[in-house]
Amino acid sequence: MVISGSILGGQISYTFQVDNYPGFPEGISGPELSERFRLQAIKFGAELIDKEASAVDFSSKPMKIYVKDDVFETKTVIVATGMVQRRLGLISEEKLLGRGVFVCATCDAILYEDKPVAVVGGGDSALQEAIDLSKYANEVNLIHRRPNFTANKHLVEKVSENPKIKILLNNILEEILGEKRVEAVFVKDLKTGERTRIHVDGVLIAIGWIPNTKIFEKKLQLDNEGYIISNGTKTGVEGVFVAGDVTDRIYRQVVTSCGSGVMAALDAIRYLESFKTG
Amino acid sequence: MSIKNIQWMDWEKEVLKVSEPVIVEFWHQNCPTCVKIEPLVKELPIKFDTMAKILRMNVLESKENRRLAIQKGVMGTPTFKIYCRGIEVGEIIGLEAVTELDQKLFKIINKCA
Repeated sequence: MVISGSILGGQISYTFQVDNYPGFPEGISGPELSERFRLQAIKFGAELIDKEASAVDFSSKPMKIYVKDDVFETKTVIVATGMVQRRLGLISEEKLLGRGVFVCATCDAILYEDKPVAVVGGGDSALQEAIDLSKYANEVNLIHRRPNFTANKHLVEKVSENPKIKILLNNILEEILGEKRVEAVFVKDLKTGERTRIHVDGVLIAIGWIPNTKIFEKKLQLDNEGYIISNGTKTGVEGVFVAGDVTDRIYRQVVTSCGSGVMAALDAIRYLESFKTG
Repeated sequence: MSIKNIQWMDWEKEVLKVSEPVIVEFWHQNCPTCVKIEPLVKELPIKFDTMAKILRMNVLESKENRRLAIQKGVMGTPTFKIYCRGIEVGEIIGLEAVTELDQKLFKIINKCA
């Protein structure tokens, strides 16, 4: 059984083109690759549940996975929950998602033609997306909490030279205003403490990705960034295995995640077989 | 029944001057969520049969399509807008469309009665 969450396919579903997955010399679109994975899993008997697991209980035997109002009992679990886009954590950000708050410039930049927008973030993707947005928007307020961008020099030069991009370093986005649509933001200058209201119609959040491990806090050992600490595919809990980006700080490729998924599956099978022989 | 792809100049005829409920999906091919839910969208004409007309508008197809979407308040893709006798009665935006899309649309369509 695969509890796949509502966004089956995870990060690759949001990648337009995957060029480095073996067997596809012409490349393949992310959504299509994930759909092929799904069909292959079903062919081999997997039952897919497209809902989020809301909680786990690894202390009981059998272990329990809670999904909405259902509880699934199992002897073994493979955690392969991947990464999720980091959010600011504001209530207004969730409320206005899709209503002016957005996370993918390539998807939605065209809808902000001749409108003022804000971009939050200071890495490569934030700066690239600010540049992409500036082709449509009439003003891009690039908000970053640190004194310098972490993006590469070339991108920093490009945003600095772009007349539509207003750079706000040492600033944080404090609040997004608007009931049904984004109307403005409040930014706070961390040096002076001054709060400014800026009229924008869109807010692009581009502050990176984090391991999707919220439901495993205090259930599995996590490092300071939220990755699951593992030894091979084994976690510290008997019968719980882990695979993919959720435990991988280094490689994070589709092909390496698939490989570690196979390793975890084989380890889980061996674990189940130990009940028969034991 | 199948999904009709409409252009900006069809809006009045296909959406505003129609007696039955109309569901319009604003989408484009570079929007991963749009691509992801395409199988669900293709089932809609069967599920809604005569209850509603299902239309799609590709916002990348022309500048005019894009501007019409902006004018209708579309701020993310995909956005489903539901119209009863030409009046907007509800919308489903982005990831909201990934789960139980048909049930959410049925709920909004019921307002048309």
